[in-house]
Amino acid sequence: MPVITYVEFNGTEHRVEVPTGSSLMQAAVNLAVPGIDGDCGGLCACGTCHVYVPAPFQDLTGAADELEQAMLEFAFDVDARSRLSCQIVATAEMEGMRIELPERQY
Amino acid sequence: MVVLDDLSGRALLEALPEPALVIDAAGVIMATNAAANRLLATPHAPLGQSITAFLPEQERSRLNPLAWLRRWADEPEAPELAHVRLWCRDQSGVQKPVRVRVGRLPAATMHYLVMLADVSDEQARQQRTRAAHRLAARVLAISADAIINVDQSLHILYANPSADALFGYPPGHLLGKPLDLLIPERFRPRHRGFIEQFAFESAPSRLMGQRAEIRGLTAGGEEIPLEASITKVTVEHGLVFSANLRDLRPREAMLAELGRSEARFRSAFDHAQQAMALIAPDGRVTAINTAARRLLPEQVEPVGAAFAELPFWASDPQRMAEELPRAVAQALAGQPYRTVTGVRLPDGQERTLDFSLSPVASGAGAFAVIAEARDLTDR
Repeated sequence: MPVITYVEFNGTEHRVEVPTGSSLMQAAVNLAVPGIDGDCGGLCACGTCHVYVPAPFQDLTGAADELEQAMLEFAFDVDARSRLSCQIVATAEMEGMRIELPERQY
Repeated sequence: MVVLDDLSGRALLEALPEPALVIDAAGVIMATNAAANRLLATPHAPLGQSITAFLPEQERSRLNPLAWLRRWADEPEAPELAHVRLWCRDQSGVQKPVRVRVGRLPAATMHYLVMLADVSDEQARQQRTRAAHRLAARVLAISADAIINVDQSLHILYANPSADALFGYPPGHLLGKPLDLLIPERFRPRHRGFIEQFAFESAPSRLMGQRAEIRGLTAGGEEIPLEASITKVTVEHGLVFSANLRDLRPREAMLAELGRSEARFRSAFDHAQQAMALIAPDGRVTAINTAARRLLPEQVEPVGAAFAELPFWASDPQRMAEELPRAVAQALAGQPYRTVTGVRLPDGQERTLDFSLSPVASGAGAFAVIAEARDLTDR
């Protein structure tokens, strides 16, 4: 069960033990990490679980598929690091990973 | 320009309770209903204008609203239609979140019917609920007490991190599991009976201290003593029980250590050569050691008696009876008292004692006085 740090836009850090196999969105919502909404419950159908995966960790998370790319259009301040956290599934290798949260989800 | 030239089409559009617009493939507004005009804050139908004037691209967003409208027209059951919002900017510049439905008009395949629902209130309510939920979740997450919710079939609906830690399970593991998992087998029937009884009681809660101690069972098979508060809440499909559990092991360990500490000091006190007594602020004796008891007639029970009135002071009872209460008060205020006085022992011997009173203090100040007497007779 990797410990992943979610960094809010204001710099507040949340260290979360994310169960292996669970999505980074679900773990954040379960523990009420502010800044991730997850309105659709993980269907990749709302764009409200937008996070930034810094370059050093992008190999661990893989890249967004076509649907995720499309839904990212609904998010704000999207850049090359942007992902929807409902589409990132925790693996043991993600231990110590840090992801950053945007200023707003919609 | 006019696409809804037949009366029934216009009547239909106007009858729609939701704001509705007809646009062409380029996004040009061809018709609107009164609800749409109200939403867009326009006195007249903004015919000929592009819908992107009202569903504009947003700063800091890559979204092209018109492209999504076209996409949704072809796929009216797209799952994201249930969840995403577009930002509508009305004629006066006010932005409001809208939920969108789009359909292709059958009679004019190059035209779309766009329905917009203002979800400002819904969104504000959702944000308030989310904030309240986040606060409640945070309160549960940092609670030192273990908190467990179960449904009426006694399956776990929620366990907070302290509950996971107390029972030794990884986060999430307890969800959906039977509550029996956390109760030693021999207590399970009785516990079920208790919950069933509580379900029918008029009291909504039972607090810690109003219940007997209960036993829990950890993942490692250890039985642990617990104190519990429970409450019940009726939700959609029945009762939910919520228990706050407190691990009594630290308290038990502290009490045991306190007992050992008390025993150590009691032993040192009792076996001291010097006569000693503890005096409460009201001047009564709360403890007395063996050496001090020897100074008293056997039939006198000093514990609970007024120290100044004990027959220690037989050789000069008047002076001590007057001085002692004042001396005790003085010692409680932090000033030790010391005097030399004569006593007559039960066997008739006269002894001279070096007698002192000293404060016994904890963090909050002196709460007792210790009296000590050293025999000076043979020196």
